[in-house]
Amino acid sequence: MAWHKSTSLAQAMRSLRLTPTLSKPKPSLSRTYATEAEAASVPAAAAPEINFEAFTQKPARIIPSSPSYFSGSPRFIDHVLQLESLQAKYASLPTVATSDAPRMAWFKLPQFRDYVGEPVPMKKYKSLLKILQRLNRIQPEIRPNEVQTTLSAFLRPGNPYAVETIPRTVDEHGRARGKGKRKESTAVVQLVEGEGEVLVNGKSLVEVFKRVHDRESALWALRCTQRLDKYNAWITVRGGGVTGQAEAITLALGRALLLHEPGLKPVLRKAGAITVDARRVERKKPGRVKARKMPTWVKR
Amino acid sequence: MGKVNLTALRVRQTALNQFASGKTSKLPQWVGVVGEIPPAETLIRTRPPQHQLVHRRLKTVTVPYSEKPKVTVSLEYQEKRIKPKKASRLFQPVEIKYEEDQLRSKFFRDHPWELARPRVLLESTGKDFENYDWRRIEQPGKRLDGESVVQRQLWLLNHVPDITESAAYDIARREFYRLRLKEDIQRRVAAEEAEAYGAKFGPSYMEIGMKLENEQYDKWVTWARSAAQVQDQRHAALTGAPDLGDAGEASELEMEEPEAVPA
Amino acid sequence: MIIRRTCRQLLALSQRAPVSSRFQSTLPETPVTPVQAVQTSPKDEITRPENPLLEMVQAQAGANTSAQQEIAAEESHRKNFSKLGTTVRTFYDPENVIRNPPKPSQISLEMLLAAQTHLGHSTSRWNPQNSRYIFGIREGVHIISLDVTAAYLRRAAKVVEEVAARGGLILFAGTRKGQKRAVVKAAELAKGYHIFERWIPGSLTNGEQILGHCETKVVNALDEELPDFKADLADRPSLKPDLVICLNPLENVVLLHECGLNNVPTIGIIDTDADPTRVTYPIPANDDSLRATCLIAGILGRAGEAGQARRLKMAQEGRTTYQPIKAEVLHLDPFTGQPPGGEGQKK
Repeated sequence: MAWHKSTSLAQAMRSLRLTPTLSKPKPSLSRTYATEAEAASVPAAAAPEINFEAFTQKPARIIPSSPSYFSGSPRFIDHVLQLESLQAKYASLPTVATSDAPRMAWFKLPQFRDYVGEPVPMKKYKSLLKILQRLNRIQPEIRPNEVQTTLSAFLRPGNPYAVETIPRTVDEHGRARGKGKRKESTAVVQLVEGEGEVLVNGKSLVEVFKRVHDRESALWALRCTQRLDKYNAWITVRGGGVTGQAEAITLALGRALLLHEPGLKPVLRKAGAITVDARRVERKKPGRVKARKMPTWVKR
Repeated sequence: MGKVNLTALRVRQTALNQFASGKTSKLPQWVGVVGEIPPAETLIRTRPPQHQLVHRRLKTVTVPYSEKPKVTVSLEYQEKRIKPKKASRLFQPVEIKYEEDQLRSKFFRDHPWELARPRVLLESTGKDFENYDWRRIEQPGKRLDGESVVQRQLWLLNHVPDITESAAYDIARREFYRLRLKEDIQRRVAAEEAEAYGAKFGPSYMEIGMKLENEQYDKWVTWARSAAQVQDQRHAALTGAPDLGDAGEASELEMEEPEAVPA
Repeated sequence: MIIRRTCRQLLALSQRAPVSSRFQSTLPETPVTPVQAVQTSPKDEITRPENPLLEMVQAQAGANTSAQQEIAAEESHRKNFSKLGTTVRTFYDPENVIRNPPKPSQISLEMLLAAQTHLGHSTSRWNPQNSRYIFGIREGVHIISLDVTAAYLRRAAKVVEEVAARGGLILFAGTRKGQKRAVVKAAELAKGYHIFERWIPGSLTNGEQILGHCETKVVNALDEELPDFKADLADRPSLKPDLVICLNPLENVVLLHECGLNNVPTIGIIDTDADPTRVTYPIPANDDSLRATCLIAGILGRAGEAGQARRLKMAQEGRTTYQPIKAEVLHLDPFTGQPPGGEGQKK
């Protein structure tokens, strides 16, 4: 390509002058290719003394600090490789179940990003967490120090699990308090043992919920466990519509009932009375009619 | 072929040109290396290797004025005349053919169930063939299979004078059958011995399969009964007021109805 | 009867089996390297990693908890009884090619054949530019000529070794699933660099943006870091590799294109459906078999190892095969070529 330019002749001359630098280096005796068969090693003559002070202080090359330099996130990848090698090394150690492993507060993603100083994507961080959890499952009594120190490097500062949460119980008046949310509604239920009277915001259930279905679903926790006539409930419910309020009451009632009778948990779980429905209305976006609906296409 | 991008092959020239024109201040370290070990000529087409099928046979020839017949090696080339190639196909690779291909296809056509047996395709060093000697069909480190027969037959064809293909096939096959029978007997005896010492093998696959099938069949029978009952009831309701005998039946059906619903 | 059979097997082993004629046809064509002489059994070099359990238990000599005592007891039990029973000598260990890859001098056609480097793609998928590497067609699949593979692999190994000996940065790239360990191992051997996830487009052409935050260091000829020059590394352009080895050129078109733009020589495994002109040094081989790619990466890694050893040996003697960067040049501003204080004084 360079030959099409008007300066090509001059360039050619320059390149000609360069030829001595391009000549083949003299083959040294010590050189053998790895593709050649290894010759019997000849004892080399002792090399003359070198002034190492000067030589070792001279810079020779600029090279990357990490072998994963070209991946763009060398620190993260070095961490992953180190953890993987640890995992492979101690793969044969006995492990405990996930529930029995010590609880560790790993870095949250933004904290980890600060720690390595690289924009690590969520998915890759999750794969790293998986390795950490596997290493954490090694039986704590025989966990090697190496693993312990490596794992502790990934703990976030402070220990959020140090503060033990006090389990909630029925208070001294025999009341159990449960909260529940659904859609925009929030319900608080005070549950005491009684004859099955229910007051919602000071009114009877029939006044508040006109539909039979809503009444059913509000008291579903008591109905499915056949305890409709064993408890009295004082319910406060705010916000949202009728369905949302009814289902918020379901959740609150289920939670309050659990405080009285913890043994009912599997039944209530199966009946869906203590399952949280975290769905909320998706926000409307600009350029759209609703959250996702696009305006109708008009030709012009 | 379209346009060919030669950038990768011309790295050295480009580097030298860039240095000569002053674009780069330093020659890269690899320039000497690429000069010493130039890239291969990738784009020159060569005539691909031609593979011709050759049969090697030994034949006895009676030599005049001599008592003993002489054994000679005869090489038979592919019978079919190779068609002259079109110019456009001159540089295309050709089919690789070996003498045993035909023997192999014949064996597996005759013994299709041999293909269903598990087979090890993995080689660790690639030198397994050095341990094989096809003077006998059993080989150390190789399971007896169809390939043994093929290789044994090939050896016979190549080393026994005046042998026909079918004769070699018969010999190899007979050896193969005998060994297979031996294996079978060994397995049976081993199972009997184990049972005598108290081993329990449990139900066979066939028995498990039959059991599962029977379960499904029974399930269907119960379902069919209840379905037939429901159908009868509907039919009775549609036909309207039945006579006396039918009324008795209808009441019976009504009695049975609560049973059918939960099922 | 058993004795008779074993005798027969021994006899069969001792008789040198006739080598199949199709191997003879290819063997003399291979470049004459004394393959036979070097082929000491690779088993000799296998050093299985010590059981970490034992090591760890020994380190924690005072086994204080019951679990530790249990493990120590189990380990001693295993040690006492490990000599009993049979030992399986010849078996295929798929890890072996990664843990202990063969040297370039050990390349043999049998090894390449066992690693399935000869299997190409379906004939309908071929790239006609590869016709000179193809031996023939078998069952509708192109078979790559093993002697060509061996020759090109040796050539590539030589290039890797030479570049390593001259202190070049060698990048191993294998982004397919399962190639990660081979790539990392090869980079470790050759003291090179590795990529086993997606190549970020623009890492070479837009290096300041993508690799700007990655750390570099100044080393002396013996590869020891010189911390005094750390201040001079700021605002330096990102580094570029001197040789790129790509195990799957089909997926890494962008990488190879960037290498072309930056004038970096490349080595690539070219299957029958790949374009051989994308790389400087093609190695015609099967790029779909993990065993084949691991073998090739390992061989190139070993070649790099030899080159690095040579370079360090020369450095021990006080010589370098390349032009070392000068301390004065390091202090200069990389873009203007002026001493860094110069502009400040003017202002």
